[in-house]
Amino acid sequence: MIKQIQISPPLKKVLVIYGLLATIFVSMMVFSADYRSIQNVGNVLVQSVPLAIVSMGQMIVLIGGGIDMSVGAMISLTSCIAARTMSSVASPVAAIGAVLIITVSVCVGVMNGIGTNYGRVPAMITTLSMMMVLNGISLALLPGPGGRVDRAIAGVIMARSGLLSVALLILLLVFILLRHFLYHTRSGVHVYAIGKNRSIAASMGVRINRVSILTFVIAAMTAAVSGMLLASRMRIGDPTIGASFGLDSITAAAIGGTALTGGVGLLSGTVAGAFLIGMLSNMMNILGVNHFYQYVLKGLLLVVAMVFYSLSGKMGGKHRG
Amino acid sequence: MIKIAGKLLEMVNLTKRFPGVVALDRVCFECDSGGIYAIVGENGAGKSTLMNLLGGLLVPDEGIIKLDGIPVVITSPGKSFALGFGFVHQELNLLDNLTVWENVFLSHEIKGAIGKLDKSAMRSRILAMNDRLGYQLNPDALVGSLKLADRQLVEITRAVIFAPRILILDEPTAALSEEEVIRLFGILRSLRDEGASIIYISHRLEEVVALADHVTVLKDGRNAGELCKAEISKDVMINMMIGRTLDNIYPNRLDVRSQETILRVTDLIIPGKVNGVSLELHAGEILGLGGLEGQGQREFVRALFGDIPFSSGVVRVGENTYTEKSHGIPSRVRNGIGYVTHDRHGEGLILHQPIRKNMSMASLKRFKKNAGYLSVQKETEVVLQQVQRLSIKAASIENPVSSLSGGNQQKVMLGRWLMVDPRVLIIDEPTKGVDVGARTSLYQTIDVLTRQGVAVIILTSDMLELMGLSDRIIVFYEGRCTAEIVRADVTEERVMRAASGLSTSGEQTA
Amino acid sequence: MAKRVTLSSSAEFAQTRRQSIFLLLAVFMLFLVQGIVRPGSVTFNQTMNITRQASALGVVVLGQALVILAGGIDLSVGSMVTLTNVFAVSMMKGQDSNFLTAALICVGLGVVVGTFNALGVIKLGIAPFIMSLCSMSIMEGVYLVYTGGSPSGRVSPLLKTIGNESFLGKVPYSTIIWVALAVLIWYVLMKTSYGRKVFAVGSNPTAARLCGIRSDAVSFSTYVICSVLAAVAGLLASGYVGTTSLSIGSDYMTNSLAAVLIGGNAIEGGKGGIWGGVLGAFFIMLLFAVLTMLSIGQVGKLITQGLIIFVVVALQGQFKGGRKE
Repeated sequence: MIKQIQISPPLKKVLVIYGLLATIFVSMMVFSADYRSIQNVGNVLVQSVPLAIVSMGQMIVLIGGGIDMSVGAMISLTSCIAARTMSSVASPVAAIGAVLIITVSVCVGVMNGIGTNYGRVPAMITTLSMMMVLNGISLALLPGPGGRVDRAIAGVIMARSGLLSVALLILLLVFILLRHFLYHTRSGVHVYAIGKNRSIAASMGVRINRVSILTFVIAAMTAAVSGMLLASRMRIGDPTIGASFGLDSITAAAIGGTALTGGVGLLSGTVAGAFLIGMLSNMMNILGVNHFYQYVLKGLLLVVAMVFYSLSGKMGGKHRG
Repeated sequence: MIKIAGKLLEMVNLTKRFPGVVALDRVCFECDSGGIYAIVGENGAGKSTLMNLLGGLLVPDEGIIKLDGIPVVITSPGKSFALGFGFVHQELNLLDNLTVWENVFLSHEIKGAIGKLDKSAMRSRILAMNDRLGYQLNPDALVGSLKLADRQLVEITRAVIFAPRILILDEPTAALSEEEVIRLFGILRSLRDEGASIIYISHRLEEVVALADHVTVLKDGRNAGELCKAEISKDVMINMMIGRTLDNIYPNRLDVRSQETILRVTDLIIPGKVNGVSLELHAGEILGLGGLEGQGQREFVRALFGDIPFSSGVVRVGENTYTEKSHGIPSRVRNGIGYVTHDRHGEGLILHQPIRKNMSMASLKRFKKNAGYLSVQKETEVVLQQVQRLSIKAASIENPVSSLSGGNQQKVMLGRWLMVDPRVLIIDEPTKGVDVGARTSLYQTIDVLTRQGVAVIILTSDMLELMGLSDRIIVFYEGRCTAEIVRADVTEERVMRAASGLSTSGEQTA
Repeated sequence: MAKRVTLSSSAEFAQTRRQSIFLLLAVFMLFLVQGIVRPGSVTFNQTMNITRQASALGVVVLGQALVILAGGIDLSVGSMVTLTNVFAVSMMKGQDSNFLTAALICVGLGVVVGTFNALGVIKLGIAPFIMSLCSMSIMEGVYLVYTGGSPSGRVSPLLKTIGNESFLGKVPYSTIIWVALAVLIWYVLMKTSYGRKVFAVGSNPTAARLCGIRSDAVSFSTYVICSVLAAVAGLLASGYVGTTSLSIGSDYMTNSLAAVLIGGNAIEGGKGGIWGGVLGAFFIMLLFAVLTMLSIGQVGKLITQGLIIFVVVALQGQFKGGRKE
C-alpha cells in the first residue's frame, strides 16, 4: 500500500497552488500586524467558504464536460428564499423554507441537465437561460435586499471561535462528501469518463445523460449551501448577491487545475483556488491599496495559473486530491 | 456450407445498408465454443460492419442473429455485453484520463457495502488476470501513459475479465512486435482451450494461418468462402478475397527506372521517435515506408512535412533546404510537398463542408483576386476538373463530403493535394477504409502521377499494398531504418523480419 | 455533372438558413404581439428605433460571431464596452474636438485587449473561455480603479447625435454604421479567402493547419477584430446613452452569446454566418421592447428572456435532424 502513495504529477500541481497560497499568507502575516490578528485570518477563512463550496460543485460539472452559468443566480435565489421564510426560527415557515431550498436546487439541477442532454441545447445556453429565469424569480421574491434571517439560525451557521467556525466545518463536510462521490462511487468515475469523451464512455456502457444530470444537480445544491451561508452572514436576502459567483466559481476551478474541456479536476485544487480569490479583497484592504485592484489581480492570477498548467505538461490525467 | 445444428452463435443472411453502399449483403457466419474463427477480407469487405452488429453499435436491416439457437436483438453495447460478448476494437476504445482498473471495470464496477467502490477487489482481479495471461499491467496506471501495446492489453483485459462466451478481436496485432504477437496468441489459445469462442479479424494472413481453426472470407460485403483448419492457406484465402490475381490490382511498374533525386533527408532525429534516419527519394518513384505501427514512420513523414519539429537533421527538396529551425507547413506546401493524412475524419476533411471547399483548402491562393476576393467560379472549374480526373462519384460538388463513400472521400483528399501541383506527395494509409473498386482507381492515379515525375512516399499497414505498390521499401523499427528493399528483392518475410528488428539475413540488428 | 452553383444554395448553409428562417418567424410573432398589445405601434419609425437600440449590441455580435466561428469565444466584450465608455467619455469632456482622439484611443485599446486575448489563447495555449474571462476581470479592475467607482466626463455632442439622430430623419445613424459594418464583415467572411480560412480553422484547426493555413494567425486576428468592434460598440452605446456608467456593458456578454447562438452559429465553431447573429440582436432588443410594452417588470422580463432563448435554441436543435449528441 505504501508504494502507491507516490507524488503523482497532478498532486504536484496541487502542492504548488497550496504553496502559493501559503506564501502569500505568510508574507501577509509578516508584513502586516493587522493581518496577523486571529480575527482577521478567521474572517478571511469564513468569507471564502461560500465561493469554495460552489466552486466544488462547478468543478464537478466542468469535469463532466459541461458548464454551469446559473450557480450564481441559484445562490441569490436561495438567499431570497431564506430571507423570506426564515425570519423566525420558531415558525413552521422556516422549515418549509429549508425544504423549498433543497427541492428547488434539485429541480434546477435536473432542468439544467435535461435541457442540455435531452434538449440538445449547449450547456452554456441552457444554464444562461436558467440564470435569467432564476434572477427573475429572485427579484420577484425580493425586489431589493431585504427580508430577514432569524438570529438563531444565522447565529448557528455563523458561529465562530477564533480560527474555527461552523462555516469551515460545513466546507469540510461538503468536501468530504464530494470527495467520496468522486473517488468511491461508480458515478464519480463516470463523471470523469463522460467529460473525457462522451461517445467512448457511452459505448463502454456509461449512462451519459444521467451522469451529466447528476453533475448539474450537485452544482445547484452546492450553490444552495453557499446561498444559505451568505444569507446567514448578511442576515438578509439579496437578489443580486450571487452575481459574481457564476464566473468566479469557474475561475476558482480553473486556477485549481480543472480543465474546461472536461475529464480533469482536482477537488483540493479548486478549494485552494477559491481561497486565493477570497484572499484578494482582504489583502487589498489590509495593504491600504485601492480595493478595485483585486479584479486586476484576479485576472492575472488566472493567467498565471493557466500558464503554469500548460507549461507543466498536458493535463491528460485524472487528477485526484 | 452452413450447418443447421445448434451452434453458439449464428448470423443468418445479415444485410446492412448505408447511403450509397450495401455494406453487408446476406452474409452468414457462425461459430461455436472452443474455437478460433477468423474473418478475413480486404479493406471495405464488411468485416468491421459485421462485428459492429454484434457489438450493438449497428442494427441489421435484414437477417437474424441467434445465440444458442435463440434469436436475439442487440441494440446497445450494454446489451451486447449482457449477452456474453467481449470486444477488442481496432481503434482502442479507452479513456486516457482514467486508470487501468477504471477502464477495465467501467460501468461494471465492483461495489462493496453501501455502494462504495471496492477498489481492492477490482485491483486484485486485474492482478489475477495478469498472472493468468502472462502480462504485467499496473491497475493504477493512467491509460494515457501506457504505450500502445499495453493499452491493447487493457482492452483485452476488459474484454476477457467478465468471462465472455464470445471474444471478438478486430485487427489486434497492428501495433504489436513479434514477441507481443506470440504472447497474444498464447492468451487466445488458452482462452479457446478453456471453452471460449474467439472471432479474429485480421489482414495478416500468416497469422490467420497460424492461429485459426476456421476461416470465413468476405468480399465486397458478401460471403466468399469458408475454410476448415486443414484447408487454410494464404493462396486460397487471397484468391477468395480478391477473386483475381494480385497483378490486376496493383499497377505494373516493372518499367520504372530510377531518376534524379528530388528529396534528400540526412540524419533526421526526433527525440524518442526517430533516431537518425536518412533517405533519398527519386522523381517518379513510389517509396513505401513499412514497419509496425508506432515505429516512427508517421512522425518521420510529418517532420518532413513541417508538422512536427525535429531536433536535428536536414531535409532537401529541390533547391530548398529545411533544418530544425525552419518550421512551418505553409512553406512546404508552397514548395510542392503534400501530405495526405491517414485520419481523414479527424484531421483531413471538414465533413460538413462541401466537396468543393474541401478540395481547394490547400490551394486557396490560386483563386484569389484583388483584395483577397475568392473566385468561386474559378475554384469550381478547377475542382470539377479534379473530380473528373479522379472519377469521384458525387452528385454535386456542393454536397458535403460526409455524403461520400470512404473511397471517394479519399479521392477528395488526394484531389486537394493534386491541386497544389506537388513534387513530393506523402500518402499516409492510401486505402484505409476504402472499398476495392476505389482502391484500384486510387492506385492507378498514383501510378499516373509518378509517370508525370511526382515522387510519392506511402505509409501503409497493409503488407500486400506495401509490396504491390512500392518501387522501394524502407522498413522502420524503433525509429531507425532496418532495411531497404527494392521491388525485385521484396518478400513478405524480409519485410516482417526487418519490422521486428531482425536483419534480413538472420542476425539481430544493433 | 454539377452545374455552377452559387453559395447561397449550397447545402452547407442550409441548416443556418433554416435556423434564420425560424428566427424570422419568431420576430414576426413578436411584431404580432406588439401589434395586439399596442395597436398601431408597429411602424417603420418604431422598428428603426429598435434597430437603434440594438446597434451597439449588434456590432458586438459581429465580433463575437467571428470569434466563435473561428472556434473561440470572447467573454470580455461587455467589459470592453464599459471600458470604452469610461475612457471615451472622460476624454471627450463634452467637446467635439476631443471626439476623434478619444475614439481613436478607444479603438487602439480594442487592439491591445484583442491582442492580449489572442496571445493568451494562442501563445500560451489558454482556453479562450478562461483567457477572455481573465481579461474581463482585468478590465473591470482597470476601469474601477481609474474612476474610483464614480465615473465622470461628458459625451461630445457629435457622438450623441450619432447615437440618437437619424439620417434624413428616417434611418438612425447608428443603424447605418451597424449595417455597414455587418456588410463589411459579411463580405470578408463569405467572399474572401480569409473568411474561408476562418471557417476551416473553426471546424478543424488541425486539418486547416495541415493544408498550410496559418491557423494561429487567423485565430489571432479574430480576437483583435472582436475587441475592436466591441470598442466601436462602446462608442455607439456611449452616444445613445449619452453619459457614462459602470454598468453600461453589463449585459453585452450574455446577450451577444445568446444572439450569436440563436442566430444559428454553432458554439463549437465552423458553422453559421453573420446575418443570423444580426437578426438575433434585433430579436433580443425587440423582445425587450415588447415586454416593456406589456408592462412586464424586470422580473417578468428576465424570466421570459431566459425561457424564450432556451426555447428558440432548443427548437432549432430539433430541426438539425436526428443527430445524436
